[in-house]
Amino acid sequence: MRSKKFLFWGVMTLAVTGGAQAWATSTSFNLSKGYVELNIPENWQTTKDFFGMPLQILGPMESGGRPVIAVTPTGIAVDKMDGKVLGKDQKDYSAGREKWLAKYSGKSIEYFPYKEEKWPDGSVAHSIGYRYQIGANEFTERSYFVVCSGKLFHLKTLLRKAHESAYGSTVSGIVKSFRCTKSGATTASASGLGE
Amino acid sequence: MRNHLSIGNKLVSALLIASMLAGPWMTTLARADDALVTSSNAIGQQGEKPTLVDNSAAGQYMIAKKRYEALAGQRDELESQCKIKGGEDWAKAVTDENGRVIIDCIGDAQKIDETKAKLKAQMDALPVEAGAASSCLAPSSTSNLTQLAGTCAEATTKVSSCSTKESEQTFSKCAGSVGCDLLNSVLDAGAVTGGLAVATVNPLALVLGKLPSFESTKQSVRGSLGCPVTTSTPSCLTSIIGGVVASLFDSVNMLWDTLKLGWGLVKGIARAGVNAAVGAARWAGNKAVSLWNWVTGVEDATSDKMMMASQQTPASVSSFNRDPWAWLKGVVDGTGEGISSVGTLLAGLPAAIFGFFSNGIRDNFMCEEWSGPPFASKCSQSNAWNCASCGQMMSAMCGVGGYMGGLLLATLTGTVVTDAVGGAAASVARVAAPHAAEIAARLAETFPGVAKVASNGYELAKVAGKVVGSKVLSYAERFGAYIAEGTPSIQALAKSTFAGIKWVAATTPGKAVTSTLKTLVVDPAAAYMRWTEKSVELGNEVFANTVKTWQEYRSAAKAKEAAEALAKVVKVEEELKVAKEAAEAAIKAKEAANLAVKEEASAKAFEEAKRTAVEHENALQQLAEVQARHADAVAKESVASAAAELAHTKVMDTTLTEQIKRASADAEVSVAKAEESAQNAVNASETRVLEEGRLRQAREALKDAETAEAKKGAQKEFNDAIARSEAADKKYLEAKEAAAKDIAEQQAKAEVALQLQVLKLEKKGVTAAELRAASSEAGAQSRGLKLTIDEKKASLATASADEKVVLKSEIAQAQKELTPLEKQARRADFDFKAAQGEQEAQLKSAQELAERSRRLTQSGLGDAAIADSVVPALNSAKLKELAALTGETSTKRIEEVKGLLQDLESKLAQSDKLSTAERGLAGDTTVIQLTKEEKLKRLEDVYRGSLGPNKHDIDVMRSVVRDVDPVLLKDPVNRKINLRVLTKQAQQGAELKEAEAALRPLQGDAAALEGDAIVTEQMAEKQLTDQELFDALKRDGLTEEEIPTFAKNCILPKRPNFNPVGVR
Repeated sequence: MRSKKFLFWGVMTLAVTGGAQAWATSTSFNLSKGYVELNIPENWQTTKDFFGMPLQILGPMESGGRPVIAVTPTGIAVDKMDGKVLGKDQKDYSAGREKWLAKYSGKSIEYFPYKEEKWPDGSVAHSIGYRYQIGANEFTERSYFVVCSGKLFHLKTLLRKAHESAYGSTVSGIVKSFRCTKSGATTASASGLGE
Repeated sequence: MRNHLSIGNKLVSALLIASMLAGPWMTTLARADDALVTSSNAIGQQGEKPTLVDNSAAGQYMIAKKRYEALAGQRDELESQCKIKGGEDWAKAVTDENGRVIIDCIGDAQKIDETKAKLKAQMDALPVEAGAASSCLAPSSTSNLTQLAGTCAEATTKVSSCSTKESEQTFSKCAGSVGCDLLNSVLDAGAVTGGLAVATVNPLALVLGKLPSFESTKQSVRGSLGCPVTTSTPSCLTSIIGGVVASLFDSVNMLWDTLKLGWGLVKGIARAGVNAAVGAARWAGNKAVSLWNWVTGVEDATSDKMMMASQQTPASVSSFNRDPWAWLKGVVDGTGEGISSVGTLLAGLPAAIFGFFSNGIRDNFMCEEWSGPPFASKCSQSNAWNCASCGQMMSAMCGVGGYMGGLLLATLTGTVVTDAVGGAAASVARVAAPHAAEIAARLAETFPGVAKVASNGYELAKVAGKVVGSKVLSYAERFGAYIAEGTPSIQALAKSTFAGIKWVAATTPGKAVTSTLKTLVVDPAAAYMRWTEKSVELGNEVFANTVKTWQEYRSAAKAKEAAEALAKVVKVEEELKVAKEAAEAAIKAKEAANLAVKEEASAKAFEEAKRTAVEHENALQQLAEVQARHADAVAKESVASAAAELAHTKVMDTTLTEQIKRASADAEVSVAKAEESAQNAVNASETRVLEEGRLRQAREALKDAETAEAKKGAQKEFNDAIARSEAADKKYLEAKEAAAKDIAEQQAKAEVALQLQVLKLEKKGVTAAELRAASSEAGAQSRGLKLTIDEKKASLATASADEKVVLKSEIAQAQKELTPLEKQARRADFDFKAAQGEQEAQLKSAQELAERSRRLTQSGLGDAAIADSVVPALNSAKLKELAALTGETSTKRIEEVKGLLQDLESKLAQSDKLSTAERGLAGDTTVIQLTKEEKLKRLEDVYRGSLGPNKHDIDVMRSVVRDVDPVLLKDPVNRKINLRVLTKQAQQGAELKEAEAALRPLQGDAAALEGDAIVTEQMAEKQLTDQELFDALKRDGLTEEEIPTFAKNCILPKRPNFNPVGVR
């Protein structure tokens, strides 16, 4: 049964990534504030607690950097988030990002409006993001606040402009393969990650 | 240059490891601001190092002391929130009305105590003179600019005596010093700062903290990198850098833990069925926080960390995954896998950092000649800066450290530059341009001798502003204007813009209260301390509003009445809450039953569903009763008030104006009450909608359950019928088998009987033959005798007498013998014939028996064949019968379900009635809230409706309204005037009774207001007792534990004798 499930997600990942990756393995992670499960493509690395982030998934190194996906179970109990309220307040997001950019002398290029969507596992994701430039580099960040089984999870992606065409769909596929589980069937340990 | 870069390369590794040891650090730039003040006394100091060391010790002492005091304040506040009234025990946690933990009393107190102990130990460990010196340090970040100004002034005086070689040596030496100080700073970070909670959540700190040889490791690291083994106190600059680097390794979980504390404030978030948005709004007024503001700190931190991570090679990450400590060791000794990549990232860090600051200062504040556009090109000449001593340079760096910290982070994360010195300096020049104007202003203010530099800085800043953007231009223009005009209030302007001021305001408890909510909530991750302070602030705000309300009540002599009204509201709310909880419980039970039905389709679930439906009905009934009571109470109040109004209207005299003013005030209170009632109605309506939705779900579930049950019953009967049919089949087959067996036995027996018969016949056949032989023999003998007799008779004729006598005798003898023989022959013949006949008959009988047996077998097999063809038909008939039975059962159950649905429909109808009642209530509220014009219009409508179009009457009424004093146009007066007009018109008209009927509700409204006024006036004479006040506060939502705090802040100043403890 489980193998069928993995096969299904694998196929799903191939579908959403357009076959950019050879295959993806469903892997569960036991993090300090919850279990999560994601499809990790071959040649992508995972690491726990690196630079203080509970879980990061890193793609290949290209153009001076790697695509990064961060997953944080917040431990905060949430039943539902009101999309209307979040959409109405999204200017606060851009205000915060502008402050951050000012720290780096960067500038925003484009903001991706707030969006509410239901993911394949039934979770509801509230996403927002923006594209910006610091120095000569362009970056794209997206934040996903996901309500899964009554808990809030924060997923975030960071890509350079050069990564968009090659890894954009892969990153999206990984993010949307997210599942929160009550316990990890195949818990990955730090020492065994990304090898 | 090579020399210090070499040192720097080694230090890179040490910095990295040390930064991870800095877990307990507060990780924001605010900490950097801490460090700024530590070297403020470096102004005017000469020499390479000593003053920095001394001042840093004093600075550390001051930082620790300040934090210690702040934590003590936090501890007191925590105690006031958590201590159970009247005793020494603490509550485990403080929760909100929904049971969510707002304050973890025990855990927070423990963290604070631990941190205080660390800080105390740190202060005790510092030299005694450090404590004394700390008191001389000005607690203002503005001093760092003064410090920079001093450095610039000193450096300028040395230009003539400075050679190029000397300048290069200074730079090289300073870079090495920065490296060693940086190393010491981060290695000793744990003892220097007292951040909360970080150490417990930073996994690296946890790993490293368990190492037994930590102290010796630190020494070996120092020695291996060419720095003095003995500890030297870090400078302010290294603290800034260490803090920035350490922030990259702090756990993001800490930030979420901080956010979790005030999660209830976030708008649009619901949990556990609670409308959190409403709850948050009620708590914080209109200041509930947006999610995006609340998480902005997390967004910042995760962006920084992900930037850093995105530059790590796969080998480096793999090394970290395998063993973080080994990875760190590899960083130190240069043997680890992937270390070269990590090293590349931070290669030459100390030199880069030194260059970062040095070039930034030179290009922004000390540049005498640019290679191109100012601030957009490199500085080609800055003799003053190049000739500064190392100590001067370090002091100057401390001066600008707070401004450039963000740039340093950008450098480390590779978002600005990924190489070393050159690129960083260029970027710093651009970003520091706005600050250049500020610092230039400071220079001009403090040291008139460097006014030229300042003025130059202003001109450059103006140019830079045009280059880098309007924001910078704005800064430059503002400061430039002050300098050009010689305005003496530069300091005031500078204060308003310095980031350090904001920080002081945000971290000093006394001042934090004055900061706005917005300031807090946009950066919630700054520190737990800030959160606590904001809680106080929020609490004060709520308390202040409450006090204000109470004062208004009291001034209008409405306190008791308001308290009673509040009590009613509270009671109704409580009843609603109970009813809602009961309804929710019933719904939950229903859902559970529904789930059980779906999963098991069992009869038990069906019964449970019916039971929960009844519970649901009861809950709805209870809700209806509560709401009805509420409506009744409102109606009774209206009736009573109407009576009072009518009575009062009659005695209205010259004091009407004053009363009307009071009534107006009361009306406002009534509006507030009405709004509250409206909110209650809205809440009730929301609850009803929720209940209705759940009822629909329950109905569907019930329907499903009942359908499933009916199907199940039919299926069961069908299954039973099938079972019975199968049993019948089985029985038939058994009977068939038994019959076959019987036939076989019968055949066998017949066969045996036949054989026996044959044997018997054979035996009889022998007898017949014997008889036949005997008969033949007897006949032969008889015939022989006869022949003898005949012969002898014939001989008689010819025989002599003697012969005749003999012959006659012989003839007589023969005759005598012949008779028995003839008898015997006849007998034998007879017996033979008899035997022959019997044999034939028995043979025939046997043949008939065999034939019968054969026919019987044929008959049995035929019966079996017939039975085989008949049984399916029988089964079909059974099925039909069962189908009929099932249909009957389903129909019956469907009828039952219909009945249940009808019950539910009736309940829904009942609910609709409630809804109508709620709408009526809301309508009443709306009427109360109507503006004067709307009321007038409505009055007209009513009047038209009751009396018919009557332009004259309306005009009269309008003229009366228009003519009255504007003050009297307020709600109650307006109503009374209208009432009078209408009453007069009604009295004059023939339709008096109808008009009165139409007027009655309006009279009620007016009477209610006037009645309030009367009661208010009466209550004005009465002062609330302590007990009444205490009870009212409780009804107002305060717990007994909260009341003393509230009283302390808000009641005791005006009512010193109030003793909430005594009351309770």
